Parts: sequence; C-alpha cells; structure tokens
Amino acid sequence: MTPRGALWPWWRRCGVVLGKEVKDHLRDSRSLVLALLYPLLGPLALGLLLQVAADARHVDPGAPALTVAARGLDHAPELAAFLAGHNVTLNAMGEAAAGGGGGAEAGPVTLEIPAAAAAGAPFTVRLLFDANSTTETATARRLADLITGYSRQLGQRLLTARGLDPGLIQPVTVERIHTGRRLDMALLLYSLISPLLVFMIFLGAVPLVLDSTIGERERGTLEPLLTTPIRRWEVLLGKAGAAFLFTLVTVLLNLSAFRLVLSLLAAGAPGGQPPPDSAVFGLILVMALPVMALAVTLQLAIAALARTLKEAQIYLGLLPLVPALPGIASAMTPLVPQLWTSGVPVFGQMLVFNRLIAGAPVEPAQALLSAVTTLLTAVLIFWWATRLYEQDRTVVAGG
Amino acid sequence: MIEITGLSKAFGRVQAVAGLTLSAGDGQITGLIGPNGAGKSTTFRVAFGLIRPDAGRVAVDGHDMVSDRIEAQRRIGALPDVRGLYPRLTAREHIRYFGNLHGLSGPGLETRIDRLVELLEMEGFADRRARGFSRGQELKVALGRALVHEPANLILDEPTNGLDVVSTRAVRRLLRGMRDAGHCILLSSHLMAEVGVLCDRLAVIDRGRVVASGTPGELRAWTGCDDLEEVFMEALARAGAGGKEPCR
Repeated sequence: MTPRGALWPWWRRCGVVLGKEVKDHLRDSRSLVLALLYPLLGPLALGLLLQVAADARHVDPGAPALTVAARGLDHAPELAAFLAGHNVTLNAMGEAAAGGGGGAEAGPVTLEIPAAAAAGAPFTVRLLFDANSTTETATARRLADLITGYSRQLGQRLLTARGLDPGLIQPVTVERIHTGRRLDMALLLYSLISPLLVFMIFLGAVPLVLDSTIGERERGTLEPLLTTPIRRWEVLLGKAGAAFLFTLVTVLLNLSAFRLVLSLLAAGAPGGQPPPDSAVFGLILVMALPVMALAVTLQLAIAALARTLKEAQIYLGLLPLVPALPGIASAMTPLVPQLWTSGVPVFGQMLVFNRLIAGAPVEPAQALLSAVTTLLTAVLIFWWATRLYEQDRTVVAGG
Repeated sequence: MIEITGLSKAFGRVQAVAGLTLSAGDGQITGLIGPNGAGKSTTFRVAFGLIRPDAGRVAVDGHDMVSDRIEAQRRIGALPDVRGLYPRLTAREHIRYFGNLHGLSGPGLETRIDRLVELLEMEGFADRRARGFSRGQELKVALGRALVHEPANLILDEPTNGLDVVSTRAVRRLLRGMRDAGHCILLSSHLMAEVGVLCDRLAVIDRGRVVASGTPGELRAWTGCDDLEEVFMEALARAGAGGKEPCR
C-alpha cells in the first residue's frame, strides 16, 4: 500500500514544525511577556541611570533658590549677604539645634560658620549633608562653589587693599577642557547597552526552547512527533527557527527601546552629545544575527542535556550571564577589538558593538571575523544538538 | 507488513528486549500481550523508529526502521503509550499538524480531519484547546493523529485504554474496518477480552521474547485452556515465568 501524500522537501517539513511552534507560543502568555516586556526593562533601567547621573552632576547657577539651614550667620554677615544675593535662602538655626541634614523646614543641608569668622581671621565653614542623597550632594556642591567664589573675591579685595596684585591669590589656575564627545558617565552607561542586549538575546526565547524541547519530552508529545517521517535535525531546525524569530522580535524591541529612551533623554538635555543614532542600532541588529543563532542553538543543546524541565530552567536562566558578564567587564575597561578577541564567539562582537555605540571606528575585517566565528560556533553547536537528539535518553524520558 | 527479527535492546544492565521475533501481516490484527516489563513498550519504540535496537531489525513493508527510517515511518501510524498533547492547540490542530508532517495539506487533509472527527466522535471538543481534556478525549486525538495519513500499518499501544464503552466499540469498529481494507495492525493490550474479540493473531511476550504465538484458537489448543486469560497465564507458566495449575 503506497503512503498517502508525497514526502515534502526538508525545508517544508522544518516549516511545519516552525509554524506550529510559533502558533503555539503566540498563545503562551509566558513566552509573550518575555519576548515583548522584558526587552523594555534594560533600556528603561539605563535611561533611569543616565537621568540620575545627569541630575547628580548638574549644577545650574540659575536654578531655583537653595534652602539651607545655617548656624553662626551672625559671625559672617557679609558671607550671608553674598549667598542671599546668589539665590540661597539661609534659615538661621540656634546654636543648640542639631546639625547634619537639618529639618524639612530648614532645608536638607546645614552650613556652619565658626565664631572665628567674626575676628576677621581665615576660617573654615562646614557643610553638613548626606552624601547618599544626590539632591543634598548637588546642593552642597553648588553651595561650596559659591563660598569658594566668595572666598576668592574676598581675598582679591584684601590684596588690593594692601596694594598687591589680586592675581596673587591664585598664582596658578587650571582651566579644565572636556575633550570627550559626551559625558564620561553617559559613555560608560552607553557601553552597558551591549551586555544588556546580549543578555536579552540569550533570554528572549527561553520559554519557547524549554517548552518545545524538554517540555515536549516531559509532556509526552516528543515521542508521537518523532514517529512521523521527519529527521531529527529537521525537527530541531524548525524549533530553532521559531526560537530565532522570538529572539529577533526581542532584540528589535530591545534596540528600539534603547534608541527611544536615549533620544528622549537627549531631547530633555539640549546641548549634550547625541546618543547612538538609528543607523548604529541597525548595524548592531545585523551584527547580532549570528549571536542570536548561537544563543538559540546553545539553548537547544543545553535543554537536550538536561534531565528535567527544572534542571533546564536553572541552566537556561543562568546562561545569559555567561556572555553578559565579560561584556560588562569590557564596558569598564577600554579593550579594543583585536585579532584574538574576534576569535572569541559573542565577546568579539560585543567589543565591536561597544565601538559602534561609542562612535569609534570599527575595522570591517575584525567585525566580519567575529561574526563568522560566532556563526561557525552556532553551526557546530547545532550539529552537536542534533547528535544529542539521536540519543535514546534525549527522546525517551528515563531511556 | 511489519517484521521484527531477533530484536534486542538493553538500557544499561536491564535487558528490555532479548531476541524478539514477530511478524504482523497485512489484513490482520496482531495482538501483543505480556506482563508489565515484558518489553512491549520498548519493542514498540523501536518499531516506531524512536530508539535504535542493539541487535535485530524492524522492517515495515520491507523498509528497515534504522537504515531507511523515513520511508518506514511514512508507512506507519503510531500510537505510543504516552499520548501527550499540546495544551494550547485544539484537537483539530493536532491532527492537522501530524497530517502536515506526513506531507498532507489543503482540502484533502481537511476532509480527512472532518472524517476522523466524526469517526472518533470528537465533534464536541474538536475545536477546543487540549488543556483539560479527559483521558478518553486525549486518546481520541492521539488516534486521530495516528490515522490521519491513512497508514498501511498501524502500531497501537493500548488503543482503547481510557475510553468508555461506546468509544471503545467505535474504535474496534474502525480497526476492523481497516483490517478488512487490508491494513496491517499490531497492537498491545492488557485486556484479554479485547484481544479475544479483536485480534486475528496473538503473541505472548515475556522477558523480552515471544513465548507463544498463533491464532487465539491455536493458542487455546496448545494450552488446553478456553479462557484467554488462562491461555496467557499458561503460556507464561510454560515459559518459566511463574507457576500455574494446568487447565486440564
């Protein structure tokens, strides 16, 4: 008796598996949440960090009045007048009042002027603030800058009164010129985009891979599936294709969110250096394709090795940290892509991503080599995974 | 036709199947019966093409299940002992998926699915997602996906286990119809009443090998027992699996 239906070509059989997995997991809320929501978390966190960093560094002379608690104002009325003239409201505190932080009415920062100030001799004022608070730190810095300015002005006046060159008060001056394209902190945070992206690449399709591999075995659907006329590698390729699509969506969302958040931050702070543009993110997306392939094949192989779903969940949950941690380290240390780094799968590409994000030139040969290395590794791991799926223990639970 | 010759398979130190030889012909229903752990499921897993034998072979219509697996698998409809379903797919989508995997598509496939839904009395849940299906409903879907490509050979592990009386009768009718149409059917069952009314030939297996085989009548004559349950016990006793009082 002749079998019904002609044997379809391999790519069509793979397509059947891929289509089923996509349909199945579009109905799975876990897969959707991870694919659609998680990619937004990294960009939001980075945006928040950038905003906090900017707020902490920002000292605006025209900012609204500072409110500062002050003790010993009577000892230096001229300083008090100077500060009042520079938008600082000083709330006098009694000598017995507690210092450090001040109350809500008095303001968060406390200025203490010693009695020595009244004697006309050099004196030291104290600023009491909580260094853990970015607001108090910024207030204290602004107040310190004002008092330093007052001190310099007073010194120059005294020198002039004695017939001396007022410039003597500061024989050597330093002019600081920032030559970087952006604030260092922003640049550092931008370089976290790469490890965060790789983290997402290795996380995006985890529910799908778990469910379609070891989940399929535990559920008892793998055996019926493998009784059909389809080769093991075709089944795996179909599942890998579906996982790749979910990862791709995750990465697209992730990069789009990074672009959007950084653009919004840049728009809110005109005059600063612009963040990486869309072309850079587009290039990173293309260059991330081999990393996605590697992530998916590695997930499939690990899931095949695991004995239970719980075991696979642990392994695949930890997997994203493996490539992301060296990426974070490379963000902290200036490592330039070299020939040997191009030979390290994923890591070589992360360095290229970092260069692209920093607006630094990238050697095309090194970028290509790192992409080819990652892709070849993905092919090797896929071959290994297909070998695992030929084994009894992978197909039959407890076999 | 399914031919199993000198089949052996061990898992570590456990010899699950030891030189099992069996033939299931076209136009016949062959029943495989044996105690728990006799090697039925392992034999079927090799026959499905899921695992490789250590020795021996399974051939389906002459196609070796190891060296020519795809062609052999095209010719079988398989019902493994695990009937797992995808909880987010409907019954109809399950059958369609397996039809696609056998190279079927379009209106022809849809017509077959409709026919199976009717034959297996699945109208009430055919378009419901499989999460929460009863055992009987799961089995019907599993049978549907095993039959969708109208295979020449059927290998069914406990095909009525979990079905109610009405559905059991419907499945038996279906299998008899396929046998009469010339299909080869190899099934396992622990229900002696079922193999008695359904099977044309029986093979009793114990400790991974066939200890008795023949038509139910031949086995009755060989053992001198009328009741198939007694026949089964006697066959095991003669194979040295356990003591039993003679039927006569």
